[in-house]
Amino acid sequence: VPAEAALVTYLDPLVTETAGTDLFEGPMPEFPDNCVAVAHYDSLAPEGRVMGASLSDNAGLWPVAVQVMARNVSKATAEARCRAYLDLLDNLGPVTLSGVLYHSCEADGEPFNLGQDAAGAQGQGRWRFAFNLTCRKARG
Amino acid sequence: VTAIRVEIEGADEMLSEIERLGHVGLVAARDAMAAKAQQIKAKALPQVPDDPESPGLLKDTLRVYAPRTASLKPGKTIFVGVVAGGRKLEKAMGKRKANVSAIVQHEDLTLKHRKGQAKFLERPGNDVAPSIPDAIMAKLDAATGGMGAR
Repeated sequence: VPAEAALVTYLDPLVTETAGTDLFEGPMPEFPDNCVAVAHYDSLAPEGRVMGASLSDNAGLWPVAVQVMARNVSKATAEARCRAYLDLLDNLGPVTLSGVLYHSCEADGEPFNLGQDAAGAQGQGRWRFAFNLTCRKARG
Repeated sequence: VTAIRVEIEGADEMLSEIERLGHVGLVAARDAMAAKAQQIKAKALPQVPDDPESPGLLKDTLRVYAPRTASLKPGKTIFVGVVAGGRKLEKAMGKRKANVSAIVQHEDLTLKHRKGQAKFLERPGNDVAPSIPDAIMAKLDAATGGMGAR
């Protein structure tokens, strides 16, 4: 199961957004204006493999890089929604999501402002806030 | 400005070895990290997006900060930076847009680029980072004729 799918399934009952309606596996679609997307954008080599024999017991740690982006016509709401997702995902784990063990999920930093786009339904800019997350998970 | 900062954390033995060797150790570690930063930059260059609002300009802003030592955290830190954005963009875009341009190009996964891609620094940084400790140890060995680094 892709990490973004597992995370969206986990988040769906915990947030005000609804998977498939305004909560998406990323990257974020053009519409609706107000929504959140979880995108698995990169995968890193397993830490046990790159760090040598002393960490070989961590061979099952497969780090994935995930970005959560919240978009809203209100800047304050975009930031607040992004921060709500940060609170749910940062320091998550160990937990089994969609049958795969997630040892840990750690945010790389607080939500940052990506400014406004220029593609809203009424032609208005929509504010985007995002944060990046590294999840260390079992393979699968 | 968007930046990749490579830190070596948790490698206490290596850091204490660098300190034990004093200036020689520090120079060897800095040389190794500078070379790795250049490697990140070389890998990043072809991935820098060509933003229509500043054609070719973002690529020109890609640069490596000289390695420095600092005590930003408990214990000594050696850091080196690979950076994109900054003043060079201001002339073409104005200060307000230039302030966010590099980070939007780096972080916005929804942008469709004709050339380049998002995460143009992070991906090369992640590729190269695992090889940095070995590169430092090799430099320490070379600097001490194979007698310094354990």
